[in-house]
Amino acid sequence: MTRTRVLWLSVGGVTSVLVALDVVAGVVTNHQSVVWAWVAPLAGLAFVLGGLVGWTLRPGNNTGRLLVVTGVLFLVLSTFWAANDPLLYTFGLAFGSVYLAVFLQLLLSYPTGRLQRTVERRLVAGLWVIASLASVLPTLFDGQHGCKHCPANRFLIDDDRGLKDALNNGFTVLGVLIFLGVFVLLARRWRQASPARRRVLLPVYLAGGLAVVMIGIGFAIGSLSQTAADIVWVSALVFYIALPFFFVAGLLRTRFSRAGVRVLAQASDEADIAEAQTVLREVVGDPSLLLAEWSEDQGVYVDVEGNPFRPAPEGNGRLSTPIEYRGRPLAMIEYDSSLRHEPELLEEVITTARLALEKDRGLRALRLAESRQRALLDAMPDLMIRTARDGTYLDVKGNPAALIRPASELIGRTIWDVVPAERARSLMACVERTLETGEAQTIEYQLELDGQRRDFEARMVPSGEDEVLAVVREFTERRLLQDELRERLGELEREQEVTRRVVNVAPIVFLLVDPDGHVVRFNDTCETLSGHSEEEVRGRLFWEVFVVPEDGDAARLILAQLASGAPAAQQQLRWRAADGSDRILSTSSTTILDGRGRVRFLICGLDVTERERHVEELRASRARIVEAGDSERRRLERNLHDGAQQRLVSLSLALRLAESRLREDPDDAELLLRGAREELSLALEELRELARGIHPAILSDRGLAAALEALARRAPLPVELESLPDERLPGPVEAAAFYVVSESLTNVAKYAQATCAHVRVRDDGGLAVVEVEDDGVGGADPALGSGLRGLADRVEALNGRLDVESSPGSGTRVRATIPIAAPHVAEESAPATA
Amino acid sequence: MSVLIVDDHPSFRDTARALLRAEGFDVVGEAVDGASALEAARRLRPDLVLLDVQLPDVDGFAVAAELTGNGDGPIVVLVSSRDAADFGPLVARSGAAGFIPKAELSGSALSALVE
Repeated sequence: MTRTRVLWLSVGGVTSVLVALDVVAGVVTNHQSVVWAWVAPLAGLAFVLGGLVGWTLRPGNNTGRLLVVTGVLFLVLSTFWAANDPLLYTFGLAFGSVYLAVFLQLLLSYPTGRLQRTVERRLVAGLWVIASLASVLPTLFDGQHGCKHCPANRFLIDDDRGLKDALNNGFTVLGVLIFLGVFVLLARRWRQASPARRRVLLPVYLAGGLAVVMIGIGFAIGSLSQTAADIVWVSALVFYIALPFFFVAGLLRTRFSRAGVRVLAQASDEADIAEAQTVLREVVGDPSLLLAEWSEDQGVYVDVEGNPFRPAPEGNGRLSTPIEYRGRPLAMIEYDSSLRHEPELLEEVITTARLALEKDRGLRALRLAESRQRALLDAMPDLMIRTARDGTYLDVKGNPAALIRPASELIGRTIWDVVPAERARSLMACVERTLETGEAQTIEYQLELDGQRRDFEARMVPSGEDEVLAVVREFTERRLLQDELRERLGELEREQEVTRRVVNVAPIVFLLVDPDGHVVRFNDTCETLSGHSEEEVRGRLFWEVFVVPEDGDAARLILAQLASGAPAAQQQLRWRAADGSDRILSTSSTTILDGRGRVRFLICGLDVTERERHVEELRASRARIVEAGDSERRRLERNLHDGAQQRLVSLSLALRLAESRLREDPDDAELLLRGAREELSLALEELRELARGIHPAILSDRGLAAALEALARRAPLPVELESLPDERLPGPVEAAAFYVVSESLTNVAKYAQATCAHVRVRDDGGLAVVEVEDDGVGGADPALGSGLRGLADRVEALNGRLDVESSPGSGTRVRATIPIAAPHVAEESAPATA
Repeated sequence: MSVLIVDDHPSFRDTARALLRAEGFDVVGEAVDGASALEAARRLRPDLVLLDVQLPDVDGFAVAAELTGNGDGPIVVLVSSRDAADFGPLVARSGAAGFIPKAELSGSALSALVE
């Protein structure tokens, strides 16, 4: 049972009994107007009812309780007044004024129910004394005791009419004075009250004031005319009956004021400071009220127009109160000083304003945060789905491109309805996990959308006790890119493998060094050529490892050139292998960046040792050919000079001598002429030999076979021509073959001590093979003899080859193989050998 | 006039000796190379040395320079089967009195150079 119900049942029960007793007493009374039988209980009942309502609605306010006490007291006393029993009647008469004291206390303490000031408390204390004594004392000396039919006065000590009247008059004067005092207090309070407070006070003061006035009049004329007094008393009673309702109305009005403050709070949901000021003005009934808000930026209070605000100095009818919240200034409120008398209202207004402003400030911060969050969410390219624990879609926001169905179709459905079962299971497991752990969980999954495989990543966070927020991001593009990248990477790796193999298989040295010349790595060819392994020499200066000391400067020059940004440098370096053998490398170098973007110098080297050797041989061969030509010309000149020329000079002189002797001594002249003819024959023979030595005419005219036959016939030893070519060969080949045979036969005649020689010349599949063999002593060395060396040069000039087998005691075999089909080389080489 | 013939070819020496004797010259000796020429010239003291340019050991210019170096040596006339143009200024520098191609050798040519 609630407190209110207990209150109403207990007080109501007591009141009902009292009212019943009062009515019974009023009906059976023999000394009182029957009107009272109804009016008095009504008045009491009105107070009790009003009091109960006030007590219930404003339990913290004493007014309700005072009203109940007043009502109950009134019911008891009016029952006593009507009682026919002399003792009860006397008792009622003696204490009949007490309820007035209660009533006046009620007035003075209204609307709080408490006496605020000392003067009020003293006045009320005086009231209680006077109200108690004002009836008791005259009753002691009143023999008549009120009325003609009234019961006897049981308290009568002495029927002294004079004393009784004197006491009555004295108390009447006192009563009037007290009433005046009360009136003054109330009037002053009215004057000081704010309009809002006046609205509360007005009905009570009006009704109470009139009741008081009527009671005052009743007291005043009571001794003059009982009838008139009765009329006044009833009138007073009517106001008196009305009074509790005005009390309740007033209490309700203060309740409306509180509602007004709440309106402020509600209005502040959307209100700015100006609206808050307007509402506050209405609520407290002070149109001059000013509200200024604290500006954090400026560090001052600013009014509704944004101007800096300074509260008016006190004592000017204005008061101001700062409103703070948790030690921080929120606002300043300036108001009419009369509001000071309504501390409750003020307190409430300030509290509410504080809450409202704080709320407003909080709201503003919240709105700012919200708009930022919203902007953030709008800017996010992701899809956001709020899902209940059972998989129901609650809300869908963001990128609709990643949605299976339009958002409107999703909400209300479950994951199971929309996503294939297997996928739904994994998603739901993630939802469960998120809710279980309370921590963010991530899941990657694929969905078939419009026949296309798409990849998603969902990051789930708990967004409530039984729901999660999933931020869904599509990464199909990324996945495709990754696939593509992987494929490219594979291609790249294969390419790299190809390059690696090419680098290792190529017969070229690849050596990578850092800008200081330290070995970084090299290829297999380099390893094979140098005999050094990579692990063994990595980090060492490359010229110290690979290059012969004499070429160290050239190697360092390569680095210097590359470092200066010069184009790829070419250089020939002599390399020394681990086994001490030297190779010649033709190197070209360039600057490259390695995989990490570091500068590296790449040295590529081609092993040209063999080529260089060939070139050197060729150079020597050419020099020998030139030298052979020169020496041949010298030989010819000497032969001409020493041979035919001398014979012709002698011939000329002999002829001149013969001429001078012809007449004087014909015999001597004839002798001279005979000698001259012999000299001329010798000269001709020598010239013929010389011409043949320069070039055998028969070779160009009749071919190799005829020339070799003539040669064999002239030879000083038997020569057997075993085979000769049927067809003519290219001129240079025939010439080379002829000289091979001619020189070989000369050597045989000179050195071999042979009995015979064999000559073979044949066309062997595009190769002319020329062989001269003897049965002599052997031991010929082609490196020593200039004749054989010259033959080799001649044959090699035609890309041919000359071999000499000449073991001591086994004869000598000279074999030349000459390619037949190389006319261009042959034509070029021909003049040098002619 | 006494003459020393220096040449490595015997056929020229024979023919020159016969030709010069026929034209009244006194051929006092013959030499086959540079060294024997210098020795014969010292020993025989001829008035004229007929000197071939091309000798087996040293060339005729060096021998001529040696013979004429003292100032009181014989007159040297260089001969060769080649032409004078082949030798350029060498003949003049050698100290020889002149040059005669072998084919044009005669007493009168020799006398013309000596006088």
